[in-house]
Amino acid sequence: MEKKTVVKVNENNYETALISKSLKQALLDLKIISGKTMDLNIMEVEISEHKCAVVSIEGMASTSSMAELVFRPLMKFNVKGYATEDDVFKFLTKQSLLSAERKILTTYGEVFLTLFSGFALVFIDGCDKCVAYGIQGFDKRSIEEPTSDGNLNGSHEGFIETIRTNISLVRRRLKTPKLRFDMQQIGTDSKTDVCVAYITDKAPQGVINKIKENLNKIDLDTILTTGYVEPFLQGKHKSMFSNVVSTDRPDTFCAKLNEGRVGIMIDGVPLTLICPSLFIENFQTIDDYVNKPFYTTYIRWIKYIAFFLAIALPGVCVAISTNHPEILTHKFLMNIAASEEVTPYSFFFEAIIITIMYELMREAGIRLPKAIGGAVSIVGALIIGDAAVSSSLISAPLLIIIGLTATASFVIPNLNPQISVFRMLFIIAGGFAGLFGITLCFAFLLINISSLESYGVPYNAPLSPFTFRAMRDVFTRPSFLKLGRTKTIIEDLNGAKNL
Amino acid sequence: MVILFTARIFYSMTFVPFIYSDVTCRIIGFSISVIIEGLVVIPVIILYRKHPDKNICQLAYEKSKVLGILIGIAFAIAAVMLMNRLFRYFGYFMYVTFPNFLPLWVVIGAIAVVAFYAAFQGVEAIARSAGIAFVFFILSVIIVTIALWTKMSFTNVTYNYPKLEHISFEVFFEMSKYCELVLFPILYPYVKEKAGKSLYGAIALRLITVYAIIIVCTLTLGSYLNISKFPFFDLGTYAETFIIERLDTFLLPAWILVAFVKTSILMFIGKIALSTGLKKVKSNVFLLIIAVTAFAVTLPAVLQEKWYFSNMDKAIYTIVIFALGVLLPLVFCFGKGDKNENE
Repeated sequence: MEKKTVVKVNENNYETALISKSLKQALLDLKIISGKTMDLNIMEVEISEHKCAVVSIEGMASTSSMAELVFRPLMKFNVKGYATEDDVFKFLTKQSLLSAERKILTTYGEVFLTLFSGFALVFIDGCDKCVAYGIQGFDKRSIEEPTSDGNLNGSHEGFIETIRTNISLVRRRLKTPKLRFDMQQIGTDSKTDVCVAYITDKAPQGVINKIKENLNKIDLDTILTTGYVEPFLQGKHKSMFSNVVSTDRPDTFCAKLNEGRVGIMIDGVPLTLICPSLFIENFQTIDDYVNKPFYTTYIRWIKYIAFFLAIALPGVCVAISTNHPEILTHKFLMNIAASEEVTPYSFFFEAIIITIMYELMREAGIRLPKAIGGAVSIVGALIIGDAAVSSSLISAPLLIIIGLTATASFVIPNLNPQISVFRMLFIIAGGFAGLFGITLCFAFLLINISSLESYGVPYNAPLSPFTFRAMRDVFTRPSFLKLGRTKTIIEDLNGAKNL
Repeated sequence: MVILFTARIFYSMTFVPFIYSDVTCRIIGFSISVIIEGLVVIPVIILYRKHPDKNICQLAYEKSKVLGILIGIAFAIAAVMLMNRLFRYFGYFMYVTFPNFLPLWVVIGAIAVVAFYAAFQGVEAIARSAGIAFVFFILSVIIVTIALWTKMSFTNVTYNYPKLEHISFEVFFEMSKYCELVLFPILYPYVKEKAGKSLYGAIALRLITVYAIIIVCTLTLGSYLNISKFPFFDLGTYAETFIIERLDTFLLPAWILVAFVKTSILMFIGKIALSTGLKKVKSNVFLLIIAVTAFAVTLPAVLQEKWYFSNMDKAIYTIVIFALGVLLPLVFCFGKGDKNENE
């Protein structure tokens, strides 16, 4: 028995409605569902005396590809004598190679999904199916150097907004059939393509399933940035740190997949997400694996020191100067006392003021257009660097401390939000309760990091719980002669649970 | 192992001193107490082997609901008592080393709040934090030792003929600090390594650390040991580097971190003990009750600056620890055990 189409399709019930056999009705349905949107292009043609229509969305399908790959072959198709609609359909699906990607669609839901993805659709009168050709031609950004994670010696290719391009960037680097990309649409309105990438024999199946399960739980209208997806991947934890890391570098993405992680790509977003992730990964860059091990080891230690400087230096200085001056050597103490003598406020208050000013300027520098952004630096340097000190509003040692702190925080850009908040907490704790307050703040920080788990893997692994083998790539970076021989994948870490 | 070590080392750091006896008695007394401790942990190890997945409260609850609730309450009270002692000792430490720094009730309250947050996050978060606190503590000891290297001298060592009463007092004093015995019957289902390895590992680690502290203190401070209230802390005062004038404040974080880990694990123990029997109430409510009670019980002592270091105090703690940590596991050792997959 022939399936019946929904008599009156509209924008609310079109998803499962079957395509009408009548071309006239089908085109009318398309117009009703889309509300006669101006970017819906319908080109009615006749193929071997059969009424057909080529439908596309303006700006989404390539006009030159459409002319070359669709119209030209269609016009050449001419059967001598009578050709049924099935002959035309057979020609379109079996006997011609109109484009590399071809789909047969039966419902209006599929029709609109493929239309809005840049496909060109061919409808045939008398046929309750249509054929979609992948001839996407929408404008996209070309592959450029990654902006958020700069490097000197590694690849200079970065992910872009188009998911298919991003997939090709990964595939080009990992030519193994074990690399899988599982695509799904998320967002009731946006129907954004979200792709889960993993290597089958390295990523734990439990983690893959759990991530897919979490993605399926997303009940949002639209997915416009990684921030929409991240909370669903993170789970219900109460930590200030995130157990999902993002990168816009294909090489980093591939390295993580190779360690047994699962990557998530979102169409329209140049950043990809990786989970499970570890705290120590915030200190690792792709350059670490290009430079000589001795230099990388040295830089790693610098980065760890930078993290503690960025978070705790102003707080510790405030704590020592206000509560424990006996720690300092006599000369040092005298110098600080001399510089503080001329300023009207306490070291503690000055530290809070200057930290807030720094955060203001940093935020302004990010949000302003690049052309004006530089002006913020000049204003900042003039106000803080010169005027504030010369007018004795702020002491010069404090300025050095905050400058050093700010520079240190640039070394670990991934942890900037946490560093900013904890820095202020440390200053307040140090001002009120000295090193006692600093230590309690440190305990709070420790618990924040320690309480986090990412898909069964402790966030502060391999430090605690301790995994000796994985520690080689934490405080040092051995040569690939060693690293390549005994690789550690995420499942090998102590404390990692089977999901 | 690290949790047990960190939980116990607080007393060793604070009371390595030789207030009650001299170095010789201290070493002998401490060594004997370690041997005794090695023996009294046997019941809890047997209990773990028989029932690796159930803590002592769960075992009691299976036998009788009332018994389960009563034992749970007993462990919760013990946790509060141990926290009370910890807070008092910490208060005393701050009172002596940093007088007029902050009101002591604020100091204790702040530790209780952060420990509450840690206990709220669960035992795994505490264990991981303990690992880092442990590293921090060891680093502090190493740095202070290096800073004091030039000041150590064997001429500072004095030998006194050990008196039996001093040694026995040291042993008794150490026995009142066997807090692992109360912690472990509740904690062992969460422990990934074998019970014996955890307990004996923690004891061995403490043995090495305490000997190291005693040796460094003796070689550096000499006869000053006998009048110093916190010799290990005083090492920091004596230590000097070209960057920092004195390292005592540098040692303060080690004390705080260790106290914080111990408080949080005690809070967690109290919570688990109560929630095993009283299942209808949310476990975090118990956590809050335990934290508030421990703080409230300590408040009068802290406000009056009375530290209660009497022998009676030590005797009470020894009785409680032995009753809950040795006798009770011994009673539950009899009877059929569960299948132990670890064996």
